[in-house]
Amino acid sequence: MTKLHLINRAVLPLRADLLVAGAHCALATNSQQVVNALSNWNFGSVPRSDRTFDLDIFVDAELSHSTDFKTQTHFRGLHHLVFATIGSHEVFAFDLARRRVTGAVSAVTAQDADFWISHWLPITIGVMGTTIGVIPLHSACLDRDGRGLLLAGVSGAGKSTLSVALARRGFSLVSDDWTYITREGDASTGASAATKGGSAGLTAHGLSAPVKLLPDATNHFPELSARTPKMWFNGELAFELRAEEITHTPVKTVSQPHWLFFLERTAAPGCDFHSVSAADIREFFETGAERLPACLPATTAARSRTIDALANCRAWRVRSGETPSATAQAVAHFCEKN
Amino acid sequence: MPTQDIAAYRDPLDLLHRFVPTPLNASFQLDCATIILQTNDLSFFPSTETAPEVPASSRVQNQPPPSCLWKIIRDVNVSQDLAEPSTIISDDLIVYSMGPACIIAADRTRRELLAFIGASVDARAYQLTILPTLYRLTEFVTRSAVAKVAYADRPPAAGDHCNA
Repeated sequence: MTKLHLINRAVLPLRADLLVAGAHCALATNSQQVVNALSNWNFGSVPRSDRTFDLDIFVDAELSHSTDFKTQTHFRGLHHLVFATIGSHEVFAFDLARRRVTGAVSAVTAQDADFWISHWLPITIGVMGTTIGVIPLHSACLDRDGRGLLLAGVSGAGKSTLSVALARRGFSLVSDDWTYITREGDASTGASAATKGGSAGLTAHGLSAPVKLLPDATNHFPELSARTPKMWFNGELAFELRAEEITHTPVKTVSQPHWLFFLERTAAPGCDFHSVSAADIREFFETGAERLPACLPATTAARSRTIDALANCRAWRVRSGETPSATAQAVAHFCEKN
Repeated sequence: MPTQDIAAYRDPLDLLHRFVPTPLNASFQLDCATIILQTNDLSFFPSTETAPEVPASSRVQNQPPPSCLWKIIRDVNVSQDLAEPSTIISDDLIVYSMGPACIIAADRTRRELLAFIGASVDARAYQLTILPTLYRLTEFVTRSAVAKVAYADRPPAAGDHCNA
């Protein structure tokens, strides 16, 4: 049986304005449960701007539900469109040109707050953010007294474990994996933040997403051994925890980038710091960024401008052969002096 | 199997498979449009048996039909079978999905059909199930606003479920 969903604002009478990671998500839905699930991000009435995208969610009570959305969600993209299927029937279309996300979901998914807050909203911002000047950056972010510490590095370098260790040493966790960067003046205005010096004008946002720790994190956080790692969207096996559960401190959702560290693991003992040039910062983030389609040149340019602004941050390469706890101690000490 | 010659695609900076090469190109005529096909699999080329005849009388005289891009990717990384269809229609965009094995988007503003077809979809399933959908969606993207309403309001097939 074909499921045909004609989705427009006439059949989606409920509205909410969500402010998420500096983005304005104009939600329209036919389900109060979806509105309720996303209520933490609801900021009343927000005027449309260059940071707005539409999120149209139609809930069909007759749609079947995928029992495990993390292993049954499938993403593909072509040109300005990104598709996601969850199981067989639940479908999302992310239209980067029209700045609109359209989806049809089951009643079970509609009421699953964990699905929306911990997973689907971060995914949506990750896909749509670049088009509205909210640039996803593959780095962790911590905050101390309003100053942000961005922690980048290749996958497996230990960003998440070091983030947790830093959070246990007086920093507040903003994000452990993906941080969303907005820039004062925004991509749409073409203003150059580089003229402001440093990282002025940049804001780092987190989404209170679950912390993801690889199975070997049990070596550093023994309490994890009582848990079972789960399969994630990317096929990776990892522990999933609410940030407060593992850091034992409140999380923050926003900070101003002040330090930028590139983490490298070494076999040699010790922990040393070497400054990194703006060119190296730029190269790291440009060459590691998702390829964007040619039909979205303004989006690609906006991302490059944000990376340019980020390259003005003071940055260091951290080579550590120490435990996350010892490395965190060294980083915290270094930050106090810099 | 036509898909055996297509290597699995891996690019850590292209997790969505946007940049799968489509070196095979063709152009052919439907009654409503000139199709420009870009694909990575020869089995998606139309054959004389599957392409519909072009009834010249159905075209508006002296007006060449509009062009429409079909970009069809054989997604060898996907092994699932076709699921029941699910379609969302949102203004100028239709997304037709039969699970991961078949995702088709039709964008009327851009006159584009963009599709991923899984490895398990054989020639018969493609011709019987997917090709007719591509034809219908081509009508949607190439015809006037009336066509959009017609698509949405078309009598659903037996057993179809529609929220509209």
